[in-house]
Parts: sequence; C-alpha cells; structure tokens
Amino acid sequence: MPRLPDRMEEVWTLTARGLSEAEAARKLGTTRQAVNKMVKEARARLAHWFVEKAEFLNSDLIRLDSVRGFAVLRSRQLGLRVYVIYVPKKGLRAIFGMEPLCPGKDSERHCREIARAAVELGLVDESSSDEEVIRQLIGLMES
Amino acid sequence: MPDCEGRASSPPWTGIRSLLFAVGGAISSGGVVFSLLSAMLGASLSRSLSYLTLSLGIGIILLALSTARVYLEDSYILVKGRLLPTERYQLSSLVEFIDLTSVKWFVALRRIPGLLMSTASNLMATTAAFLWAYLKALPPTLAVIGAVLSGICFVSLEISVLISPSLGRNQLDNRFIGISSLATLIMGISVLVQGFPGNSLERMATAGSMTGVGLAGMINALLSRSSTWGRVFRLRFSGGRLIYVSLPSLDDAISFKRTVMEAIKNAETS
Repeated sequence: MPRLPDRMEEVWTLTARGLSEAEAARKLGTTRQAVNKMVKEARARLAHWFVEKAEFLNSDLIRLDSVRGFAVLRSRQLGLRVYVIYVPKKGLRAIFGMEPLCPGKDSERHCREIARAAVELGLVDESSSDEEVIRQLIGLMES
Repeated sequence: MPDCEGRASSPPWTGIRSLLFAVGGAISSGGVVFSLLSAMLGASLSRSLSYLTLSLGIGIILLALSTARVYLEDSYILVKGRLLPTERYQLSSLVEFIDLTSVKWFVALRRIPGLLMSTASNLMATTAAFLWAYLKALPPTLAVIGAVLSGICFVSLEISVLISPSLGRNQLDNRFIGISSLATLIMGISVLVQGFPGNSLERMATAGSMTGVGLAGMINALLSRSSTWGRVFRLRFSGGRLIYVSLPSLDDAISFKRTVMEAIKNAETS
C-alpha cells in the first residue's frame, strides 16, 4: 500500500488541516519554499493514487480532492459509491456507500482507522461512534 | 485530446467571462421579453423591432465574448476565448476534480456560483419586463406574482435550451419548474376567463403572455429527460484557479477524463 514519506506526510497533514504554507513552515522549522515543494509533490502523488485506485476498483472518478486527501468513486459494475481517504501512516482506505457502513467485527479496525484519520485531518468533528464519524465524512465528500 | 478536440468548451462561469455572460444574458432575455410585450401592447412595429435588434445585438456580442474552447496540450489545459487572452492550466497542479453531472443538483448549483449569478440576473431582467406589462392590467400584488412566475418559466426554458445538453435537465428540479409553469398557466387562463372589459389590450397581452410562457414551461418540464449524455467537470488548481469543462457527449467526456487522469499520473511519475 503506497504512502507518503514521513516528512512529506507531516507537511501535507498540516496544510490539509487548514494551515497556510507559511504557518506550516514556522511550525516545522523550515522554509516556505520547502513546504510548497513538498505539498505540491504530496498532492500530485495522492491524485495519482486516487486515479490508480479508481482503475483498480473499475470505478469512475466522481470527485478528487488532493488538498484534503479524499476521492469519491462510483463502481461501474455495482453502481455503488466508493469513498476513499488517505489515512496518515497507513495509506489509502476505501469504504463502500452501503448500509451498514461498518459491518461486523472484521471491519471495526478498518472503520476506526478511517474515522481517526478524518478527525485528525480536521475533516469532521469527533463523535461518539466511528460509524457516525464516517457518516459525517461521507456527507462532507458529497457536499 | 484527440477524440474530443474542438468539442470541449469551457462554460463562462468564472472570472470576467461569467460577468459578460450574466450581463449579455440579462440584456438579451429582458430585451426579447420587453420587445414582445411592447409589440403586444400596441407599440409601433418599428419601435418594437428596434428594441429587439438592439438588445439581441448587444446580448449576443457579450455572450459570444464569454465563450471559450478547451484544448489539451502536453500537460496543460488551454482555454481559448475569442478576444480574451488564452489561459493555461498545468495539470500537475490540479487539486480538485468534480464530475458535476454525478452529484446532486443543489450541490452542482452550489459549485457553480457563475451559473447562479447569470440565472439570477436573467430572472431579474425578465421579471422586470413582465412586471412592466402586467402592472398595466393587474393589481400590483398579482402583477408581481405573475411576473416572477413568468420569469421563472422563461428562464427555465432558456436554461433547458442552453445548458441542458451538458448539465442535464435531470440536475434541475423539474417539479419546481412544472409547478411554476402550471401556476402561470392558471393565472393566464383566469385572466382570459374574466374577459376584457373596456380598455382590454393590456389584459389581453397579460393573459396571452402568461398562458404562452406557462404552456411552454409545462411542455419543457414534461419533456425533460431522466438522464443526460453530456458532462460538466469542475477543475480547481493550486492557487485557487478554477475552470469548468463541458463535453457534449459521453464519449467525449470519457476521452477527456481519461486524458486528464493519464496526465495526472504522468505528471507525478515524471
């Protein structure tokens, strides 16, 4: 599973959470130019991976947002929505837009990773359950 | 972009082009309605024709200036306008891509503020023209309601004709258009039924225009398709630069999307 190098991921995460490049540079003790270069590279890589993921899942790309690190796909065979998010330190994670969102014990860890990433990236607010966080995340991706 | 070369266009929903499109649309729509109504209200034919020619002329010039074609050159998207300078967008700096024809209609409209602006300006211009005529025959409250409803019918017809092939009528709420058209038609018929006592030219013009646009609006809503072949994409680049790309057919859309996706992959690997 591809993932961003640590330093690049750290920089991208800060900008995904809404920090400006100058603020991220100050926080990381580096220059704005270095941050800009790494953010550009990270966004290009994410866009590439989302496109590859769409091809792998035989899906159409409906939405791609490499600033916030998510994509919305539509499966060509099933007609279902597929929501993909970049989980820091893990890589891309996908969830199908069908109920239940987190079926059974097996998907618990998967759902937790997605929910934590969504909160960490500042996409949604923390909630009582992982499923509720994912529901909010889907709402954001569709808005 | 060999497969859709010359067929991809950029709708004028951003920057200076959106302003030209909104003003051009408002002048031509308002002008057409005003000319037709003034002819119905007994203005001389030459005067009505001069209103029509002038408003259509100015409107069409502004609308033509707002149009642009889209081309793909290496890893750049080029937007070539008529008199406006060519804009270049580097695909490697693409940060957001949305297929607007695959999202809910209110999300699509929210993502196209330029379309909202031009629709609002067209609605205001046509409503003002209808109001000018209806105030001569109806009490103010009824005239305002009738003018707004007639304006909605007229603008919905325009949107269907101009944008339907790409954005699709399925994205617009046909029930809203249908109800507005039905209400306009009922108002027009009720004025007709009440008859034309005394100085009846204004009432005839009001009844005729209300019935006409109401009927046209109803037909438009009833003929709406449930799906569309065209596609509209919204592309946002780093730095906040934004373009919309409209493709007239599904084949063109697939070809364009594939080319953009390939360019994204190549940009990252190079």
